[in-house]
Amino acid sequence: MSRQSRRPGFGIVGAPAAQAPAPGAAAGAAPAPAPAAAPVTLPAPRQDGEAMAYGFVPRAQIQIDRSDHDPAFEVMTQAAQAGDWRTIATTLPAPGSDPDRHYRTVSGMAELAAQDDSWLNAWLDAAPADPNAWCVHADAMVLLAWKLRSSALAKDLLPEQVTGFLRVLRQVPAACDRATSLVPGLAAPWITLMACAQGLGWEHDRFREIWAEAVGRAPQSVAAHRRALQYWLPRWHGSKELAAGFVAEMTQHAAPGSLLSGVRLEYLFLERVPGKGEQRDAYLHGAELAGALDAALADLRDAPPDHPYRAHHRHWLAYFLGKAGRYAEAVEEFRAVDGYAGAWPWSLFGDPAGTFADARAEVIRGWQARAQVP
Amino acid sequence: MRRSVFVVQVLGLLAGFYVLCAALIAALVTLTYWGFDLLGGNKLTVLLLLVTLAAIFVVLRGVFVSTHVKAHEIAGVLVTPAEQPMLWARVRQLAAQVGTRAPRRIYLVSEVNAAVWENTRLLGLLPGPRQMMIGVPLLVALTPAQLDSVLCHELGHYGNSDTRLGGLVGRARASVLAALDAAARPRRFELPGSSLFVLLFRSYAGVVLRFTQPASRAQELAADRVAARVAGTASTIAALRELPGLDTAFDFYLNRYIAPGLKLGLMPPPPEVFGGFAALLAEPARRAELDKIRQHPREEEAKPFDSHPPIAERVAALAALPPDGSTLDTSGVRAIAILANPAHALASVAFRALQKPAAGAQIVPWEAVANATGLHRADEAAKPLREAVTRLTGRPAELPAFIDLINAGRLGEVLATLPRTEAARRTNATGRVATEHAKTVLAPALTGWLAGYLARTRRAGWAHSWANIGGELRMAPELRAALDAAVDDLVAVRPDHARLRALVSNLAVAA
Repeated sequence: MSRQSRRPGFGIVGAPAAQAPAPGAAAGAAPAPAPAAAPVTLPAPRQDGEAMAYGFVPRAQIQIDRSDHDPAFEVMTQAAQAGDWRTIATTLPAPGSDPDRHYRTVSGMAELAAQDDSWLNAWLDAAPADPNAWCVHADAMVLLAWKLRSSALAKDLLPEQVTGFLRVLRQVPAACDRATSLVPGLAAPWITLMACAQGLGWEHDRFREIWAEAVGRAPQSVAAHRRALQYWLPRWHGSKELAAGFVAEMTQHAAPGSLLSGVRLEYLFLERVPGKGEQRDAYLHGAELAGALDAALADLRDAPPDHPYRAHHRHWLAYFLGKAGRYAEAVEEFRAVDGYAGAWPWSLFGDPAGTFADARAEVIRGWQARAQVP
Repeated sequence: MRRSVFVVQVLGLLAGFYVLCAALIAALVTLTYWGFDLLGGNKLTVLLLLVTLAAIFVVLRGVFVSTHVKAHEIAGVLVTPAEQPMLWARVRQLAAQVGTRAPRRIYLVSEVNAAVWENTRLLGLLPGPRQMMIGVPLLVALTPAQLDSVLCHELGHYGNSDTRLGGLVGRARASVLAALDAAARPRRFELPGSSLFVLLFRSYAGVVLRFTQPASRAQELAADRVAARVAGTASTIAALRELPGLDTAFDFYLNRYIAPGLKLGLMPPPPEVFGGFAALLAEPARRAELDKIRQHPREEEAKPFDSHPPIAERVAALAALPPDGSTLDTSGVRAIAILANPAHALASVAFRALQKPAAGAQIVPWEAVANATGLHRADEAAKPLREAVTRLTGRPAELPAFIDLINAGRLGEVLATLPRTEAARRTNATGRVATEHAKTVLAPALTGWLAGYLARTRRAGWAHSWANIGGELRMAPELRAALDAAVDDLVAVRPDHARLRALVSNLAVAA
């Protein structure tokens, strides 16, 4: 397996600001499919047999639009396809439930609405006082705006792509306000608003106000921290220092079991891991990553079994434990999330399923080589 | 010693050009003569005759005829010392300071350029009468010292104490290029084989140009030094930096302010054609853009055989000169101040430059130009929407027909009927993305339609503005707010046409 195939197909990782990933993909329950993914024809995977011998899902069956198995989400997906907004309205976590659970479900629905909004419009028309409908509407508009813009480099954008992007994004705050006015304690509208700030380039002070509103309502929210991290990245509106400072502060105030240590792994992937060569190898086997991985493993042990971002966390662990050569631990994580590649880091690559399967095969080979076969 | 060898080489190359041409024609004539003598008149010999004639034609045209720039080819106005005594005195003084002959004629032209040239004879071997042209946009935009530096640079090409060879090299290059240009100029009919001779010309010209290229480059830098000596280093550097931006600005001005009016048969008062350019340059927003170009000049396209070093290199060479204590003129005075009766001079250059495009144009104030072009643009913007409405309703595209469609819940059909944007095509957009891209077409079209309607019913109009390219759309503030809100609502992610319907029915009542 060449390292080449594991580099993102469209270079959004470590790319300049204009090319950074859509924020929709940054915090969604089911991240948007990689925007500019060229269809990739994969060679018949040699390692698949080995992986399957250990009970892993064959490459062709890996789902790229899900991060894990979620029966409630399946129900709502079917309801959306049938135009049955009532089922969605009753299945969505009530405002006031765990903010991460609420937001993750909202953004999952927003993914569907960004493709077809007929059920959402029917819902908004029939129940204009349902804050969840406005949360989904606002988040869907963020995703829609990014689809209009496309993931092209800023210099390659057509004027109408920018016009449409800005026009749609500028309608997001009103929808967020509507949801907030209905249930002031909701964190979701503020998390969505952070994506708006990112796209519209709102100033630091304005962003900090939104951030304060979001963490005031959801101090340990993984979704909120993921969004804020994007804003503070040098490729968007922050800098190396601001992003590092944000992560340090987050690490300091993170409660055990919050899974905020997974957001730190995300930061390391986006900002710290060198692109290639010896430096990359040295980093992947170095102390910074080892410390972050140990913290993330401990965080996972402390986290409630139904933490909404548990699967996301384990995708990161699977990726980085494998890269760090900690194969036995990595195998555990791959087992836990096997069959799903609809999460970062996989969905940042042109071929998420292939990247997932390749990484998994590498881990299995390393694991076997060390004669740790059970 | 080396210098005299170089002179002999250049002269040899130029003489060789004649020898080559003469030999070629002689050989062809001889061949043709023999051909007819031996074979009589048949297809082959007739063809040979035509080829010979083509050769003679091309050679004569290139060498003897068209190297002279004829007065009628200059889109400019000849100014006499009696008409413009101060300008003439200045040019003569500059020539004296440079150490070269003053021009015999001065033309004012409508270009961001100044030039000195000679109608030389024998490919530049014999100097001819010297002529100068000065671009009015430069007079309008540059300070007197900056214009001095530009003119000194041009005069400096014709020999100065720094490079005695300059005159010869410059003349040689100019005339070879002119000969090539004349020979290669496309004509209505082409004699057989003429492109072959053009090719021959071109390769010989290439030899001459390549051979003189280093000397010519040195000559450019020397001409800059002369300009700096006479006009001051600071002003010379400033003028060099100013020129690319002015070029862009003048093109912009003609394209955005003059051409749209002319297309509708309207032009501003003739002195205003250049007066407007001065006003545009004075506009703070435009000044800021020019500053940007000055700071980040675009990469210049290298023309073949262009001997001008890049501006950055020329500026660096000037900056390396020992300081002369000169400073920039910040008084705001422009070189145009040197003209007597400037309004008349500007008007006559404008008339000369716009002779053809402005034929029959009506002279109106800027405000009228702005209003007519604004309305025209609004109509153009509305076109795709009106066409879509006609296609869907079969009725003439009037606003009520559009409102009826929207009322009937057919906005989706209208959006689907509008032309797809490049972005939608490129990304194969479907569903919500396609709809939103269509709204990006709908918004300006509807705004244009409404604005046009309001203008025709005398409730809106376009005011001339140097800051806003398309003029400023003027109407009552509450009307403007209602229009913007109506359009915004209709193209919202969840469209709402209540305000549009109200606006259009109010307008119809008020009208």
